[in-house]
Amino acid sequence: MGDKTEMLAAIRAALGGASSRGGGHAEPGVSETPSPAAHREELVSQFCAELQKVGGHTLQVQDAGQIRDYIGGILGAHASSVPGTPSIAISDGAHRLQPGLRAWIKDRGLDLITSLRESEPIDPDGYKRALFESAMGVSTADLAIADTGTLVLVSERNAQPDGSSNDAGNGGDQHRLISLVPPTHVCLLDANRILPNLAALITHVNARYYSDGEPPLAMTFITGPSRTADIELTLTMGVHGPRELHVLVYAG
Amino acid sequence: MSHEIQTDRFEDNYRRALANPQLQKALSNATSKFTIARKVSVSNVGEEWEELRDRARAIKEQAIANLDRYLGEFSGNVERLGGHVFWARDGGEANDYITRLARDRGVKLAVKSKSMMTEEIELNHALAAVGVEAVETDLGEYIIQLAGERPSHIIAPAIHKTREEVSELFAEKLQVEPLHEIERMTQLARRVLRERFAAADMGVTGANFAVAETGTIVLVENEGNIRLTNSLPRVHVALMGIEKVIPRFADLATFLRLLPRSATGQQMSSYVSFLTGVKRSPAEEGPEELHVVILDNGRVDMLANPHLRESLYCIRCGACLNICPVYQKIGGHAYGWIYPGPIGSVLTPQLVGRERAADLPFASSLCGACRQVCPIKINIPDMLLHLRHEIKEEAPAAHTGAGHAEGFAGAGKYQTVTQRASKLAEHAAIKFWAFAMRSAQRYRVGASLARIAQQAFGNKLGPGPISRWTSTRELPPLAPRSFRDLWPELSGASHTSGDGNSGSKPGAKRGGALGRQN
Repeated sequence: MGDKTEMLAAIRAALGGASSRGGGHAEPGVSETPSPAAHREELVSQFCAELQKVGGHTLQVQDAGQIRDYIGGILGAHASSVPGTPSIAISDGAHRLQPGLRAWIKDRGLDLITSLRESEPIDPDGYKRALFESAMGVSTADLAIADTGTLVLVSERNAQPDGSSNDAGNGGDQHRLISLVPPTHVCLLDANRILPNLAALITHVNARYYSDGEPPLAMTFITGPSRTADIELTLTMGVHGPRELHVLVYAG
Repeated sequence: MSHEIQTDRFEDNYRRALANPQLQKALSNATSKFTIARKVSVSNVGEEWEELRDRARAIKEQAIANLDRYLGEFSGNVERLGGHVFWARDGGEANDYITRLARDRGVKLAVKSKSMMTEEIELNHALAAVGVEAVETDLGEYIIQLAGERPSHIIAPAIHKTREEVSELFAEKLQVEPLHEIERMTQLARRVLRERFAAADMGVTGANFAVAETGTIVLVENEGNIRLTNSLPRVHVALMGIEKVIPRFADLATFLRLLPRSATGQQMSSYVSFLTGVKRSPAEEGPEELHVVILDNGRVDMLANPHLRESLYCIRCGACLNICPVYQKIGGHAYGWIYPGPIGSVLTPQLVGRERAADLPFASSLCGACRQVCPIKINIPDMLLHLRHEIKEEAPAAHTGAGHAEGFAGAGKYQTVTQRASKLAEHAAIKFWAFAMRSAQRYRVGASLARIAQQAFGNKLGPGPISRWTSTRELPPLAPRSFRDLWPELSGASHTSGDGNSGSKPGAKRGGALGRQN
């Protein structure tokens, strides 16, 4: 039976006395050159360009109508390949941001899946099964990285279902599975939440989420659709996660 | 699937690899693609790349030098946020813990994402022994598992298989019509594995980084199977070696820039998961239980050896495999265990025992390319040399040879009489070479004799100690006149001494019996 005290003592013994340890103290610092305060437009266009390079789709949108049109377009394009009535998952965060979206989905005769914490009763297994059958997941992103085209989804612990203490964009969306299980992921991103690079992102989330002793349950970086090159190094999309990633950037 | 350790059959293994034309093609394709992608990605970072490597190395030095402290801090944070931590001295203890956990929770099926540690301890085998099926979900690993083989590359486990082989394998094992397009094979694997994800009660992952100050486990991937594994099943088990811990969350800004670029040449992998603790309410997503298994499994010994401590800095990117001229020719299986390539030749003897893997540290030309591409600047060549030294000290009788003119097999513990005889011949030849090179006069005479000998006997040598080398190679014809003879005419009057460094005379050096040195 392994034992913490015993193993740590063995490690200490292997390291020898404090004098022989060496190694000093590396300061993490931020090695990346901070970009000069870039204009939002530049960050948006860099984010979009980088995400497109890895196979993601992007569109800058101005209003709810454009979002609905775009989603309607994707559903139309997929209609022939999906038998039966497609179900669409719309996260609680996406619903708070675009309150008309769920009603619009239902009006089109499509089945709607809400976030787990909104369901009555709470049935995690049923929720997973429903998502396995769904055609599309719509969620928000909390942050993004411009120079890698990366979406950042933060899943705060004990986020409130009514969103009272967790606005979309602040770790309050329940998007962990909605962004992963359906074959198409549509993500709504606030243009003001795009940071220039990884160093700026890590610095930001470190201060905002990881320094108070209650870090988020999960944080996920998403950079393009799911991909593999495991057979003959041939790039193939959608092996386990979404085959399509669409990011709609709005000016918040 | 239990993977027999075959590190003591290195010569057979690499000969088989060299004789396999399909493997040679796959290796050449894969290693050159990865190497080019890495190079482009690194050059896009520019000068900062070296700063990043230095910083990553400094962080690893600090982490490993204070490993007890950071592991204590990490495990404290995991437990504070609702996770369980199990400390395992070896694979047996880890497997016992995980199999007991699986039985207690009534787990019949476990889904797994790629983890070198689980390969190291043969977790799948242990789970199968108690009736728990463990399914690999990384596409390459899934193919390997269906075929009953072992991975041949840290990043691309199935690069040795062609699409036709995968097609036949799927047709046979999954009872489907043969598929010919990679796209359709991938979609089939998705459908089959989705059913397993839906049914599994336990998800098993490794860990790329473990952050001490927050208790966060970081997992880097492209497929999404790691995300499914860590968010769908009720129980999440994450295995990590003691060396995975890094001090601060901010350190990730360095490592996450280095790892994807070094591994696949991507700026960022498709998915990075940062997981901290467990949920507190059924309304939250994610597993109900988190069990982090922290393993020693031979690593404390690495820590205790100041010459080999750097082995623990490795972040398993695979860059040293792709750049290695030996790996490029022999592939991952030849190394006989789960860690191939230069870093494998350092890790494997330490993990399976030096006597069982005595050939591996010799399977290197010490060209240093591995060290140059390593994101942590690990001094692999020095560690290979140190291991050679240790191996020769441990079994002096078996290692009388001074080099490896016959391939890499020279260091093996079990040598044939022929091998031993050729070792002696080699030793004598090197002594003769040293004797010839120490005097300009002897060198000149020797080179002239070689020229005459080559004219008389042609450019192949008959039976003899180096015939295994020369039978498959032609010696380059020696020039009618040596560079040394030509130099006074070429350089005019300014250089007349003619005595230089013998090492700078490549033409003459290749001559006759001295050819084995190249």
